[in-house]
Amino acid sequence: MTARAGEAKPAGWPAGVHLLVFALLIAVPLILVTGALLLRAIQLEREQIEGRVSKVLRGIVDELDRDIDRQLAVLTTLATSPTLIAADWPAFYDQAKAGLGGRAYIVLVDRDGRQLVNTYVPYGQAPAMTGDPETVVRMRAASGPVVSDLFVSLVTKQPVYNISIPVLRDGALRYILSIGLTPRDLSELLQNVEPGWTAMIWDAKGRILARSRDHSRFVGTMVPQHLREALQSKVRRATDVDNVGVLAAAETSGLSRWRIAVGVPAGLIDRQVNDSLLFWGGTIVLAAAIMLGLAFVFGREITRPLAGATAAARALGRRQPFDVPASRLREANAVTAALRKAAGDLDESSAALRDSEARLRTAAEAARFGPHEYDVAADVTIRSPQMRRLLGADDAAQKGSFESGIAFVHPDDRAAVRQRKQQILAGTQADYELEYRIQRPDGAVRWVMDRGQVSRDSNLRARRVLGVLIDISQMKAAEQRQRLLFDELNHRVKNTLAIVQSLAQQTLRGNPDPRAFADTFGDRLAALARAHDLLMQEAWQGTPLREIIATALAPFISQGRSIDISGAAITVPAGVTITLSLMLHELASNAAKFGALSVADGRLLISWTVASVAAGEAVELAWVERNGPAVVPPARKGFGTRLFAAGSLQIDGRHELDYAPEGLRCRLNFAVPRPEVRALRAGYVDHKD
Amino acid sequence: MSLSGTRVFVVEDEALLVLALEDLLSDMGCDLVGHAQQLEDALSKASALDFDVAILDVNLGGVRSDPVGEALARRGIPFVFVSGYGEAALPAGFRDCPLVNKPYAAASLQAGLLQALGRRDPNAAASTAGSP
Repeated sequence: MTARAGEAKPAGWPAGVHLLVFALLIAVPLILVTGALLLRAIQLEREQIEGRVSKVLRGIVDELDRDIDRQLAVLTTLATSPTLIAADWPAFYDQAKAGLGGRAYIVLVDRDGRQLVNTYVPYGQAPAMTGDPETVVRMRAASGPVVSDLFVSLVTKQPVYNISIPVLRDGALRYILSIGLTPRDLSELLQNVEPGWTAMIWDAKGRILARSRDHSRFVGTMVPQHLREALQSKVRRATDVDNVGVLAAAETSGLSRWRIAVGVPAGLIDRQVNDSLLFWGGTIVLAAAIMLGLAFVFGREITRPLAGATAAARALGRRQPFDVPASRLREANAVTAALRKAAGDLDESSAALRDSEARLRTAAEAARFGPHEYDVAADVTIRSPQMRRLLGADDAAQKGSFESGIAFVHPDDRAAVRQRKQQILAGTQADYELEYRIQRPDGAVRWVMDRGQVSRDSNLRARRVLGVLIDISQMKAAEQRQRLLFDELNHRVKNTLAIVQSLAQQTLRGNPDPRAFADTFGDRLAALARAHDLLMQEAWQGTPLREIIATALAPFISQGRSIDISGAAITVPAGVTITLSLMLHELASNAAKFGALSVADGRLLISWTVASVAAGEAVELAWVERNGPAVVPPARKGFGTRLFAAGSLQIDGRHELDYAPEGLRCRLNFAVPRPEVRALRAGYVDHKD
Repeated sequence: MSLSGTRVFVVEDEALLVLALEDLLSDMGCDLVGHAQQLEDALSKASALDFDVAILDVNLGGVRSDPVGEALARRGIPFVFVSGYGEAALPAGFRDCPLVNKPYAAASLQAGLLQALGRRDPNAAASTAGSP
């Protein structure tokens, strides 16, 4: 795993370092304690050796003194010999020689040092004077046993020593009885020391009497002054006569002036100490190494799964797949499992998000609404593709400002919308809803509903506006159509009422008699109602001329009446249907009262022709009555005449009434404009896109 | 105030209403100098005829009569609107013109005509001078 470039190294120490510190915290005190124990053990060992040295030394001193004591006992026994008392020297010689058994020899001298008996040589061949005059001197000074220093025997020419006792006569020194011994016997005494150790005896002059090792080499040689000073009862370090470093102590014999020393080669002890140090030190080093190794191994056991989990988390952060093998660290496995679950949830939710986005997009397309978002501080509007499509704007309009949005508003609404939006931003409300027109770049005008939400900070300052623009043009058009319909309905009702009012007035002028008025007005009202029925049947879109004629005539035609109605199919505009119906009603009513329809033989011919002209179609309708009573022109202008005068003007035509005696003739010319011309004249404000 | 001798021009598409107006005006002593039922005719007569006041139907068979009103306004001749639509049907520029709602009685028509003619009074003219 490698950290990505630019990714800051996280703070803290890796788990391995923590474990190492942990191991050291345990190991260092252990090592220190172990070291202290080791030093203590070494010291104890040294003390033990010193104790053994002292003990061995004491043993040798005791044994030496016992040995001297035994010799003194022999001498004391000999001193009581009658032969000595009798000064029978040949007999004493024999006795002494027999008693010693050849191991040592007996010398008897007088108080001046003259030899009397010497068992080393045959009787009578003894040297004249003693070889050990010092003993004589010491004996004279203090009468008691004397152990001599080493001296060279006059007889054997070998280094020997004497143990002597005084022989008194009448309380005065008479003889000195000595036993002569070779130092070799002493060296045997020293053979009991432990292997490698050395023991040594030297006399008052510092001359070596015996040594446990290399006895013959060192016997008779001097112990150096510094060594003699160094060797005391307390064990000390010193350099032995053979130049070997030793730990040694020395004691003085109780029965002689000799000193005895026991030493352990320092090398031997050091080696033991070194061995101990080596063993324990090695153990410590080994333990520390094992500890560090374990720390490393366990550290890896922890750091590797943690690193895996970290890598997984990073991968999750980058929305990349990751695969982390199971580890032996439960916590890391838990983290990885949690990450895996989070990744799954994330996948699910992002899939759901994508789905819902897609659905929203589809819904936005279907509902013709365009989401947009406005960042107030930055004055940046982001417009969705749907919004841009609605505005008829290209991709360049994806990003815009407040004013660029206002620019889409229809010029007539622009100032008001700007002011309203500024009020909304400056206000405190959250929701807003506006309706206004927009003008697309191609000029098309559409009605939109602009609704949204303003999110505000804690000071109620507008931060962001999320809104949608909804195309409500169709709704607006429907609304407008509905309003027009209502207005039209109102207008028509009022207009019809005005017509009824006029009919009533006109009818009253011609028929002052209430009964006559009621009849005539009722007929005319019925004609008006039938004309309305016609209009309704054709949904106010105009009425076929034939229908208008048939409807107008219907009340006046009895069974078997012959009426000719002929003409091409033509539809009369709704606006003139009522006038034309009422005009025909007046003609028919007149015919029924006075004309062709008033007699059984009367005939009525109605025909019309249609000719195309520039503005539409020109209709010429002929009303011809025959076989009726003789026609008399009306004396005054009645309602019918006035209606024709005004009515033909309304239908954009002219009329001709011929009161011919054989029958009334009426010619009516009028124009039916083409639908588009009608529409133009109607001045519809068409709000279709 | 009498309308006697007042010369009136009528623009109304419904023939029957023209007849009714003729009768009403005649009863009031007015002189009907002409009438038109279609816009073109109305426009030409509005500028050609000599009259004191006009009665304008707002809707001429689906065509608005605004141009006639404008022509009359240019000539300085007062007029009365008649309509079934109510006040809202008046063109934006003529909101303060007298309006007589259909169906009308003689009294309301007379009041409308008097109001229109009153506009020639200098005081009355000042009150509407600010209209767009």
